[in-house]
Amino acid sequence: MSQVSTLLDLFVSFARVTLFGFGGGPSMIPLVRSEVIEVRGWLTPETFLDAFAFGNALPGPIVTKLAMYVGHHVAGWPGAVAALLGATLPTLALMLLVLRIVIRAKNNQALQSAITGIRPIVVALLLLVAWDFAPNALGGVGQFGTNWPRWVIAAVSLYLTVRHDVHPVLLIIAGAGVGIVFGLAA
Amino acid sequence: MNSEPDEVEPIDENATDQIADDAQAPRRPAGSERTDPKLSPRSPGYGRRLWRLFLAFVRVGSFGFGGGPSMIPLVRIEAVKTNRWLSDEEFMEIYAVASSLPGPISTNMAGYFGWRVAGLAGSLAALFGLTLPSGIAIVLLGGLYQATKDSSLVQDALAGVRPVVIALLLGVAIAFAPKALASLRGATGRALRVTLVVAAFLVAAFTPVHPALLIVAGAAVGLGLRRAW
Repeated sequence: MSQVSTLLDLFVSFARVTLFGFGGGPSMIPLVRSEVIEVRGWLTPETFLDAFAFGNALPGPIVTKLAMYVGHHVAGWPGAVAALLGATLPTLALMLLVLRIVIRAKNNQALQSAITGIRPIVVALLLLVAWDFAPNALGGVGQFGTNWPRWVIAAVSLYLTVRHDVHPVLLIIAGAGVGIVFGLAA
Repeated sequence: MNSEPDEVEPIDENATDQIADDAQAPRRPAGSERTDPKLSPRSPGYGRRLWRLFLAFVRVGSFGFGGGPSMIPLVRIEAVKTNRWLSDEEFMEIYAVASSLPGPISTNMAGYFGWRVAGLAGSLAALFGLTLPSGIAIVLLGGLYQATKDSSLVQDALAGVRPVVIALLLGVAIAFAPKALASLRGATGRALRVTLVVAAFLVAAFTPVHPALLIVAGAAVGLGLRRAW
């Protein structure tokens, strides 16, 4: 019984975090932190930071990684699954519901006009995502002297992806290789 | 081995808007004129499609370093280019909805794409494909944290990958721009939309306005300028 209620707690906690987290996974980290450390006391601040730092070195969505880590820490593999489902299913259900409504109304002239206005915003949001990511990836402009190899990687990758349609996975592997060979983090 | 029906017609950038402009156009589901239709569990090839969905999102979840943003270009490659499940236009609309709603953007998009091409099982296949590899990895390898913390190898590799992610994101924006700005009538309309892109970017980058509000504002501009377009 207590096992079941623990699993339920995990599901509810991560459902709560994602349902109240707007703006994508990374913006939810503070919510995950307070839920896991302060509300539930599942992890110590040190363990959480370690898990977060380690999770950042792994690929994939950060919130679901943390969810599975915390879930497993608290209740083994069933806990990992409960936390993962809590982190993903409720917001996915909401998304499916909203898109069903949008698609039903797809031939509606007003909706079409609205979508015409939204598309340029999507381009702007993608530019924004790149912009927000830039300090982390390229460093500040003032550090160009030491960080110029990163700018070169970005420029070459951009050329290859736009002009030659090189597959992103190849570019990512190449970037990792270049980073290791040239000791970029140093 | 690749026996998936591949009847995708060359992408006509104006197709969606032409449908919108033509009041007599018959009702049909969005994007059906050029992307694969949804398969039901009884359709031939359904099991294969689930497997392909799972693998596609395993690839996304295994190479998307750097959190949510890094996965957007990978999701697009899989859904639009490699598998042609969706058009770029549909991708943009779904991205707009995912950015406006709560929850992790990449898992919501994966779950929706899975649903869109193969129903509930497809949704779960995509969702688990995206989340399980790294989720299992963090549990199994979590004990190695102290070892990797001091490993300059991991840090060097990540330092090399991050600039690539920037380039990939810009690449998606560049690929979308002509489609987002396509159905304009005349130079005025085009100027309006370029202005919208620039203005939205500046507001989002330099003020604390939430992206969802920008999407609402874009919709309002679209409605308000309906006659101009």
